[in-house]
Amino acid sequence: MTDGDEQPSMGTAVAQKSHILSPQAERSAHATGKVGMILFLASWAMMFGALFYSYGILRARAPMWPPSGVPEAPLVVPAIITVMIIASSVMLEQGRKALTAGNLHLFQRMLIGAVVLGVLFLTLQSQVWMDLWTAGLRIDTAGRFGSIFYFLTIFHAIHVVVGLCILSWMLRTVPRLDTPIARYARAQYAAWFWHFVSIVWLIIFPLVYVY
Amino acid sequence: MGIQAEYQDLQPVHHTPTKFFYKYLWSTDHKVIARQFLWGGLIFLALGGLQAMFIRWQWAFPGEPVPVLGEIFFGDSGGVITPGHYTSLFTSHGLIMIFWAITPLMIGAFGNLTIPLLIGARDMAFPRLNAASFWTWALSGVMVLTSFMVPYGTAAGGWTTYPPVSGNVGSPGWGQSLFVLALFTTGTATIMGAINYTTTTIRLRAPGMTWMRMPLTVWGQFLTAALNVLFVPVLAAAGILLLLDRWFGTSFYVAGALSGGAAGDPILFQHLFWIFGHPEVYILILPAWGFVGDFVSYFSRKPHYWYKGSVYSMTAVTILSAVVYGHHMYTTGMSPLLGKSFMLLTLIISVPAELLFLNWLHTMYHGSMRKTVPMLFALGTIFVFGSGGLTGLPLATISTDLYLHATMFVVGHFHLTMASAAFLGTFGAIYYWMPKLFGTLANERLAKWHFWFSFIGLNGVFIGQLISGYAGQPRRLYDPFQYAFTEHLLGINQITSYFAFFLAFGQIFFVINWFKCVFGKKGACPDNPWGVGTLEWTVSNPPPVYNFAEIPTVYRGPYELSNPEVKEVLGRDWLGQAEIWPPEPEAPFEQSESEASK
Repeated sequence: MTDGDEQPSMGTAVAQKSHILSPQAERSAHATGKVGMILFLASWAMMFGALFYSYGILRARAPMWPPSGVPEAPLVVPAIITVMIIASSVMLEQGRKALTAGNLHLFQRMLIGAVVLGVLFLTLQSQVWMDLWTAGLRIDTAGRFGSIFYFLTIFHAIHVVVGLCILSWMLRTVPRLDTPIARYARAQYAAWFWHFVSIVWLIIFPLVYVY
Repeated sequence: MGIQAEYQDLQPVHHTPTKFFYKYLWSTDHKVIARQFLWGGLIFLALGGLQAMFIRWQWAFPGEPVPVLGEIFFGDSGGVITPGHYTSLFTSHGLIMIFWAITPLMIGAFGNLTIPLLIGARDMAFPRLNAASFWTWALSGVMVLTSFMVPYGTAAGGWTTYPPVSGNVGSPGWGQSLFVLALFTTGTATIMGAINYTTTTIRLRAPGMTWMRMPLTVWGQFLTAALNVLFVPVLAAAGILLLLDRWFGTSFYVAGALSGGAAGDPILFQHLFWIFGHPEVYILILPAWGFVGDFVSYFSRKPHYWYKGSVYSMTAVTILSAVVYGHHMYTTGMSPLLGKSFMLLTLIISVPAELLFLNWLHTMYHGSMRKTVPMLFALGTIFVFGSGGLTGLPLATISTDLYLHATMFVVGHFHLTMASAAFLGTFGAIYYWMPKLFGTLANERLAKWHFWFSFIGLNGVFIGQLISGYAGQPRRLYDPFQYAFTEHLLGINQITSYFAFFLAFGQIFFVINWFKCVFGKKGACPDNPWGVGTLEWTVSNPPPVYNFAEIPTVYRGPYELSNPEVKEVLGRDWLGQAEIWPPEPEAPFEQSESEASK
């Protein structure tokens, strides 16, 4: 059997590399992508959920929280970066709306704004880590408190880095896509991931800095 | 544009790959990926099975050199299984069987093979993710095999990997780290696959394939995938924390003298592990329930009894499985109120499970049974799952569990449900879909021998374990007969071990059959050997890369069997899901009507 024979003969289009979808099919593909993205984020949310659960168990079963002798965590800088990450999410959402309206330029500017805020977030967060580290909150001596504090914040920061990479990549790739639906879809997936990272921070912030 | 054209536009037909690399290695065709998973899973199944035989040898003849194979595997100790070997054996046996044998076979291979074919899709929703999933899994397999070769050997902290045994002090060296890393990697692969299966089932069902027209196999795979998406990340979280403890000196799980005063909490690991672990046991059985639900209907030539009830039961079990994990931890000093709540929820699971059983029995009742190979395997699955399920009740009940906890009774129970039922279900599926996999039917005589050896062997082994466990034999002991109260159990352990060797011997029939099917001369295989109406049997054996030249429109559920009207008109007792009924007016239908009017 040759390869030619294996293709169906009833006039079904054989996909080429440049197969162009009809608008309906493209919307349908976007919907499929959304389902996949929701599942992916649900999966990741369960991972963070498990980590928050760990936090709860470690804290509930600790004799004292925070343990005596650990330096007090700052409140002002973390509050500022919380505002920053919310602002970046809002900007991204504005950009996404602009893209729906066909305003690619505004989308790009909003995206740049979100990336800048994200970088600032990381910078200030590193400052908090360094301050606490020099004040004596060490992983090896502060026990479960130090472990879960550094782990939650660093693990989140890794997600911020990944989110920033995705957003920067969007800056390059979205304008190059052919159709409005494809652009919108790509931007939406990236924005969802960034919002997810923001929401996770909104849980981490009160857990480790406030309460 | 009609809905059908839209579906076809969304799922364009791809060129059949011709280069070796794209055809066999980086193939995005779900059927090729299914075969890759099948091969990988079977190899690991053989490895895990061999380990089980060594463990059984040790329990029947403690401290005696293993004949023939001992020199190869335990050469440094003269063929004797040392305590070090033994702990590694039972640890890696459990992990390998769950994550590198059953998961790829049942979910990787048959999820991939069946979902698109049975719902009328041309491929998975994300084909490249699918290929990446297999190769990630393969990478994790390499990590497992590597862990056997590093200094201090592979993981030896029990399959549950509880700290502190799995911590730096309990298990020094790279073996345990590699194994946890491999678990993390295979978890990633599982999530990739699960996202794919779930999305495919939600989005790519052919026109007319409503949720309540899906074969139960697809339901089983779909619910499994949903559980995988949600609960494997919890294991990943537990694994990350363990690795941080091992590598970076954090103290999540380290307590007491090991931690130098700043303590963590080893019980935390048990919580995380079982939040994942309990859904996992349903992950390993739901696909088999799906197969069984389909096979009992197809081979009793009757529609599945109360199909919707079975779907609801499976869904209910899926949901309940997420809230019962505490029954693994009754002995950790859990609050009695919490323990009782978990006990109640656990016992409630038996209600939908019971319903499912009744549906299977009702389906067979007054059916015209065909004792084909898949049907035998389905009946075997029902039997072993039934006995495994019944022995689960005393383990779910706190008062009896306190006695039975960590005895061989537990081992026998979960091997009957997870291992035997998954084993028989998977092999039933392999024989059933062999035409779709390799374009030929398996040799029936060999397959039946394989079934009887496996069925008798599995029951013998695990019922033997139930008995010795009930008599008080603790699990995991290197020499279980060192105590006065277990001395007399040597006899029953030896009988159990003989059953195990009998089981292993029976697998030869499968190996012969397998190589004949894959590499042997392919005989003519009928397009629809089992006479059922699901979509996969409307295409050739094995199907072309694009599955369906034209995406079918579905008109009815999968169990249109033994309908007298269909029999009268078409001369066969089944009707395809995508067949138009009544057939176009011209031929037989009008005749029969005119005959009736005479």
